[in-house]
Amino acid sequence: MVRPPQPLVYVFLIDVSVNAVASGLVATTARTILESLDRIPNKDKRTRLAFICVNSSLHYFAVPPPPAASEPTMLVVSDLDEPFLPVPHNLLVPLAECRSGIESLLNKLNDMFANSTSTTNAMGPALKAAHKLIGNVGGKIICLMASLPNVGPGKLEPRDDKKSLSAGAEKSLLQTQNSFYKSFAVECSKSQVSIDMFLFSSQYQDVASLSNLPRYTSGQTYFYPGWNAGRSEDAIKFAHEFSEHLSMEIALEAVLRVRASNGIRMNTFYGNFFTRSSDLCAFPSFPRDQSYCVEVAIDETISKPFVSLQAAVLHTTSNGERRIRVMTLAIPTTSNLSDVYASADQIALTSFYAQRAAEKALSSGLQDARDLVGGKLAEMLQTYRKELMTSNVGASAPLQFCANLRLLPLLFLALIKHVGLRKSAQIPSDLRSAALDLLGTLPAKYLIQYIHADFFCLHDMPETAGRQDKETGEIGLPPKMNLSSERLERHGLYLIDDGQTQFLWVGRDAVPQLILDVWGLPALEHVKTGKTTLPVLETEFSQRVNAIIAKLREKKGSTVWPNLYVVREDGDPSLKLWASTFLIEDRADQGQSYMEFLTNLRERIS
Amino acid sequence: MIRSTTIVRLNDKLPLAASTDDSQDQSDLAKYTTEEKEIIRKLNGTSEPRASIESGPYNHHYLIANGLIYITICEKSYPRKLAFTYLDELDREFINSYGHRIDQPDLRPFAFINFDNFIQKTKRVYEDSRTSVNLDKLNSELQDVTRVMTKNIEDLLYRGDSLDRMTNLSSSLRAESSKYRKAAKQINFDAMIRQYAPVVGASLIFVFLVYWIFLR
Repeated sequence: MVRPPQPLVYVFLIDVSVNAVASGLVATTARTILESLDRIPNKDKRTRLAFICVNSSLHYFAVPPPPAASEPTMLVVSDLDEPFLPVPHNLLVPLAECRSGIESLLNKLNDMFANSTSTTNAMGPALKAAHKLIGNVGGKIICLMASLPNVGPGKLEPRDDKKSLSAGAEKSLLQTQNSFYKSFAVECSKSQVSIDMFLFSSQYQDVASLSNLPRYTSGQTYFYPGWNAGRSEDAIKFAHEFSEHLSMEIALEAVLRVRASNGIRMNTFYGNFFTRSSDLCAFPSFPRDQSYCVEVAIDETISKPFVSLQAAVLHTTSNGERRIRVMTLAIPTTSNLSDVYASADQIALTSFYAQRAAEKALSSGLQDARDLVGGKLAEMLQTYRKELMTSNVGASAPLQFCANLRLLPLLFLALIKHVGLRKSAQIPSDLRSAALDLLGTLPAKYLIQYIHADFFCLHDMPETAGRQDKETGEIGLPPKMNLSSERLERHGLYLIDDGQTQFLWVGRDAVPQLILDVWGLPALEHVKTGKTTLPVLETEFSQRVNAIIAKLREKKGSTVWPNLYVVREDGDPSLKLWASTFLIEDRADQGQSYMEFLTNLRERIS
Repeated sequence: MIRSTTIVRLNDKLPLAASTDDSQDQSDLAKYTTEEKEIIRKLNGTSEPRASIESGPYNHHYLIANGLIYITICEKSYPRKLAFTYLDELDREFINSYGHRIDQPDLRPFAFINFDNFIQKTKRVYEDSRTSVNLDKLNSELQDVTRVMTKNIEDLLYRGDSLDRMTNLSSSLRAESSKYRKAAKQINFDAMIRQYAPVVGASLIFVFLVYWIFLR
């Protein structure tokens, strides 16, 4: 063992520039951390916390251990070129011992910066200082920012000129502007430091550059565009997600290696981590809500009936035990192509291609990513037709595919039309970068929901929906429908949920009784659209609708709390347009409908 | 300055606890941690229970107690006495908290890693060798030595005292016994005289009469 098992270390870098204070970020962060102190994994009592507030200078907080009678003190360092630590001790303090000091610090945090007028955000120097603080132990740095870092190393310029959303510049907008973010990420990965980004700006925040830090240090980027604590839904969403994030029992100082039988080689690795030495993946911290893909290449002809794959993760648990978790899989081999097609799993294929497309978009651009996905699908269909269709197939023959892959064209279309990859001149690059991040890290179950949203009809739901099942105690859900607007009835109430956002669609001819039941309002005109919380009323229908929404919001293995938007068919057109982009089977601006897509595919492969 | 501390089981060299060093610049310690592992490997039940090993700008101090090795790497300038007091304090607290579990055969490496909190706290206290607390500790150690020394001197003094008394007694005995000898001699002489005085007197008178009668 090179060194003793690492303790869990969290450093909070909180932006306290005027944007952050005005939007209520500082207050909500302090309160959420205060409430989550009990949930942070601390079984071995070694968990340590540090707080650094950032605006035009770095504010460190020294929390003296309990026998000392003094309160936590703030030390301000304005030297941004060579950030140094003002005191050698008491900056990184054990949670169990200094609990009261930390609590008093958090209580005062918002007041300390309430009058801040600084518009500069020195996040680059702050990151370097935090790295210096915990570089010897390793740990997690959590950055909460509401503005663009604009001083020091890591300085970013606002580069989202609306004109440059055209095809050519799109690619460069998705890549990092400043090489600091990649080189610093590698440095952090070496000293077992992982970085998470929580971004809250209402203006351009260059998510593309900032998300490089989590990407190469196995962290995660959380993007809350236009966040404001004044809206209670925003505050609840952030508080819930942040609290879940802090209470995750992550593993530390982890490495992953995948091996296989002779003749099989691991080709490429996809996900948020740093690939050290061609087959070792380094994770300074191993989260529990991300997924990773390994592309396997066959080098030699395999003659054995089985091949085995083994993945081993060497890690330290959050309570200080060093462990190796090994997973072994044996898969049968075949020399028959139809067996390969019959055993393919469409969800796995979609996840894999989502990760590949996300990576391709970042390296060569969105059009290449879309072409990759479309091309691969065409290739699969073509091979199927050529090799496996025995009867003579003319040009007018229908498109054929094996039964287990029959939804693959729909899923691939959903991927192409997804906000991360979609061809459109109106999607801001921040939104795209955040979406590409999610495409690259969501676990398969949530990824499928993310690209192909769940669509429920609420006004016509069966009796079991929204009510607790007597045997399992689970709330029943209505059946899912195809994502097509032909399902939308004029008088209906529908719910679209993609895991990150929920839309409650109300038709323009909705009966007043429905509006009364769900909102307690007399007519449709009074229903407010946009981000809202549904009132919980006494009516049975309201109870059921709320139960369904609540059930959809509780997700195992994911920290996300979706926001609910109410969309009226005769209401705000931009909101309506946004909601209808989720109905992927329809034709959209520059996107094909499902039927058109299939027709094009058929022509392409014949 | 104390740079690093490790606690290892003596018989199978299983590491039980260590400090997760959070001071800056630990990269230069890599060579010394390797040396520390070498030292641990060479120690066994017959080794010297307390020793310091010099190595470049650092010293390795170790203490073997209760079947455990407590070893620390300190800078050369750090007082030895203080380092061993530090190790003693770690030993007391460790045995107090985990003493009953150290002999289990199935212990994981670093099973008691949460002792690290106590190590950090204690290290903080001992860190500044110039603080008055540490000076007091040093002083009390010195005082201890003087108290023990004083005790010995007192013993010595009492021993000297009784010796004196002995000499006095013996010299007085000698004086008394010589006095008695003289007295005894005197009495003997007196007794002899008393015994022989009438005979000597009578013989003297006889001799005088004989002389006066025959020689007139």
